[in-house]
Amino acid sequence: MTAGAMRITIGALVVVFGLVIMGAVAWLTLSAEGPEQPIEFMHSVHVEQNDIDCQFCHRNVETGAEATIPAVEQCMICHKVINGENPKVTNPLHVAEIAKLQAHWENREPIDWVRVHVMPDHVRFVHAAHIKAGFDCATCHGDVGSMERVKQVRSLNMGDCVGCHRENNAPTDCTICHR
Amino acid sequence: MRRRDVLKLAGTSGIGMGAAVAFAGCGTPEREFHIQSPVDIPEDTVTGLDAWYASICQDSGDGSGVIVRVKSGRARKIEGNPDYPLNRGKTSARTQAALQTLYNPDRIPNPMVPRRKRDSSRYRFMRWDEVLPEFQEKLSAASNGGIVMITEPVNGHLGMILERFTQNIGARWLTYEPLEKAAVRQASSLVFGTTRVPQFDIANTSYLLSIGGDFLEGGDSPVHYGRAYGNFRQGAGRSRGTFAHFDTHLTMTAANADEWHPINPGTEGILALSIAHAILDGRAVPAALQPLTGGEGNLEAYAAEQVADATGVPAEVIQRVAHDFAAAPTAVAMGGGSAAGHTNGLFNMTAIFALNLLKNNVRQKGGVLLNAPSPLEDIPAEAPVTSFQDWETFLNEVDNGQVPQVLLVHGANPVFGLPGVLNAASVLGRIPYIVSFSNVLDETTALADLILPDHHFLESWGTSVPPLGAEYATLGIQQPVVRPYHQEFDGAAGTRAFADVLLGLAQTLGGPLTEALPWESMRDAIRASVDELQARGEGSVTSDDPEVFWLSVLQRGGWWVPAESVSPAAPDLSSLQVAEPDFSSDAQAYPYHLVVTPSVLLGDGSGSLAASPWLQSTSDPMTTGVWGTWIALSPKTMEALGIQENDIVRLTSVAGSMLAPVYPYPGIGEGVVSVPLGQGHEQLGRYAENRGDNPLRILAPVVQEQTGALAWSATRVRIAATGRRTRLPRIEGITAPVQMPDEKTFQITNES
Repeated sequence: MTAGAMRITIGALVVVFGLVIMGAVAWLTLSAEGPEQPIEFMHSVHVEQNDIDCQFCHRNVETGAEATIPAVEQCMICHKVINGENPKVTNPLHVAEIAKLQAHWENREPIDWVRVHVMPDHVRFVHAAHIKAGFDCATCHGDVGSMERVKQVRSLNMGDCVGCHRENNAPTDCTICHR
Repeated sequence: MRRRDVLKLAGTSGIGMGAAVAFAGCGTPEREFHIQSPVDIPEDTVTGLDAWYASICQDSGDGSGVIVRVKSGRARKIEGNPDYPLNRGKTSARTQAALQTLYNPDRIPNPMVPRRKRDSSRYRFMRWDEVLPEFQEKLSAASNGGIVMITEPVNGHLGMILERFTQNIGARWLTYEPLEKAAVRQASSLVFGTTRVPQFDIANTSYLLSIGGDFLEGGDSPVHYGRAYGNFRQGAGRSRGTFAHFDTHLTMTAANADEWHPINPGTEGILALSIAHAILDGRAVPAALQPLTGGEGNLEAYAAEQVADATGVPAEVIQRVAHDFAAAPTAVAMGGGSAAGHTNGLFNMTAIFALNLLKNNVRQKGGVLLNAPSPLEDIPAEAPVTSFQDWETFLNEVDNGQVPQVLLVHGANPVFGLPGVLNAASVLGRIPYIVSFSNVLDETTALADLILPDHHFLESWGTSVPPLGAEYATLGIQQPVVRPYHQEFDGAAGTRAFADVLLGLAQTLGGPLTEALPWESMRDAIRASVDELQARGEGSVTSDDPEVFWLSVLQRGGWWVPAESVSPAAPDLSSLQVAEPDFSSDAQAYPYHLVVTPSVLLGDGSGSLAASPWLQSTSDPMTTGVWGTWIALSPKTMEALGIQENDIVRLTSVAGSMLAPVYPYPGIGEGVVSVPLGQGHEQLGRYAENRGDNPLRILAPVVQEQTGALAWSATRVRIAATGRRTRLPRIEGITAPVQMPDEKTFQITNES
């Protein structure tokens, strides 16, 4: 192999390796399926089939920085009656998962959900400001209502935030988010 | 396949090595991906909001009052507590970066023991109930005088607990302060009659004279003095103050002065007496200051013309500064820094402080304010400091066979800080059982047979009596603002607060120890003191209900009360000896003075500040250097030695040698070399390890005559090129200056 051909081969290998890495990064960050959760909670059942508003459970999204994960007690408001003993609940998967929830409530054990959306500590993201500006939850989170398992649909990295702020004439000072 | 599985696979398979390398750096611990549903709907609280908790910052070196923003159980931001008398809402870079010592990936998460004795490369994690019984047994067996406790100088409740613990268990308590301030403390005691270093009221003075006092970057509290300095220059309702500064090199403090004059090392006291001579202007020396005359009865030997050569300060400068100092409506003279680290440090400091007696400004606004004592009698405001001489004696004893059975270490790193010739590592290594309470693997902890990691200060209880803030007698309260990052979880043992471990031992060991330390935890001890304060019915918080009082005190970050006027003893300089500086070796073989400077970011290198990437990557204010050590040389010296910028040179003293690249610094005298402290760690985790060099190691073990402290400014060195070069990472001077089209350029030249 001539030196020139070798250089081209090495160059090609580097490019291929780079593409593989980039593909892997894209796949890892925006994978097809969200993480497994301790309870197979289905947004699709709650939102799509039963038409419950996001804020019925994520109740601080209009007032606080975080949308907040509902307390077990909040789930039990409905699931006291919507459980395996209710003749309308027939899907065995649903019965089994509601039983897990009831066990948490009876044992007074918090549920350790696996986080899907994580903002770094140096970012101060406030849900309330975005909801008040009229954005729909789906703008950032995608159509969670139709998801069986929640997954991240946007990169939500700094470029993503700044791009959206620019499009909507929102401030892009560093200290808007980093303070 | 899920992405988590991919990461796991990548970590274990050969094929995945590339991906493992690519992603390991971005890794977040698995449990950080958890978010909890609480069991009950929180009533009365809106979750998901920021909560600000008041506490005390231990990383700042002065115990600044802070408020910490906590969201979702994580500390996100630290700001100054606007109420706290010491710093009134201001913070330093160190305080801001304390989040990184909290979430430092190299923190020790569990108790651990080395797999092989004195081998710091491999450890076995243990549970607390596995290690504590053996530890207690060893303590009981050694309690008749075979225990040595080494800590940082610590006040407040931890100081009280350490004092009672060591006294009642029969242990020897040594505290370690790398750049000893013994001369400053003793001079305060001689001149102002109090052992606490006073507060120089910069904020309200009109003329500030500082001889070596590096108050904006070193000293007792750069944050406090930084705020006071702002007021001094631009305060509302006052005219701009004037600031004259004398120091061996251009420190950040010097760069802020109206005039800075380089001075020959060790002659600071002579300069002060010369200024005194000019102020007196023929009048007799007051009786209190007579000892400064060295038996002459007058200061004629210190006339400006007589000392100009010795000090390197022109006679007319001395006369003008003396005139300005005397004529100003209020003036204050402060000292410190390297002036206090000479063999004649006590003389230097006393002569400088005595200028305030000539101005008659003690306990006057704009003069010298005396700090109030601790608000509680049994809670010390000052920590006892073991002098270098005593450290030398202790190490000699161990070396000669008087080996204690147990050594306990917390918060101090003598192996890193003591001069290399003392061989602290090998001498301390002879002690058969060493227990460290550090939560990072530092050089001293690397010797330990058992490591019982302490909580971070943001996770634990404590108190602080601030070093300054003379208007109030203050007890600052440090409360946990987040749950311990390494807590008992999923089978992990987690960290435990040092004070709680000591109090637990006091409970189980019984006898006088239990009586002296009756509390089950640090929180209980603080609560008992706070109840005492509540009974007084005065101060920043008052309430008839102890519970309301307790919560309000925590909310405010402490309790303080306007200080009663402190009545000091009269100045008594009779024990003072007028002294010339003495240096480690002859000027022929070692022609340059070594000045080690505490970094405003990394301090003196003790503690774990160097493990913070934020502090490492923040530019040094004078040189813009980051992530390393440099040797600042005057361009004239460089020319004489034929050395270029970025050449790696070797500094050699009688005690050892160090390597670092050269930084050309016009703000330094020809005979002086300055090296910043803070780097040169062999341990301390990924961000600090093997970075730069440690000048403390090459300090000659010269003792200050009257205080027994280390004369850390008394080392002379020689400089030799190594022929190697490197590029010191810094911001200044890495690109050519750019002429902005619409900005005029001013060039400063010597021509008038």
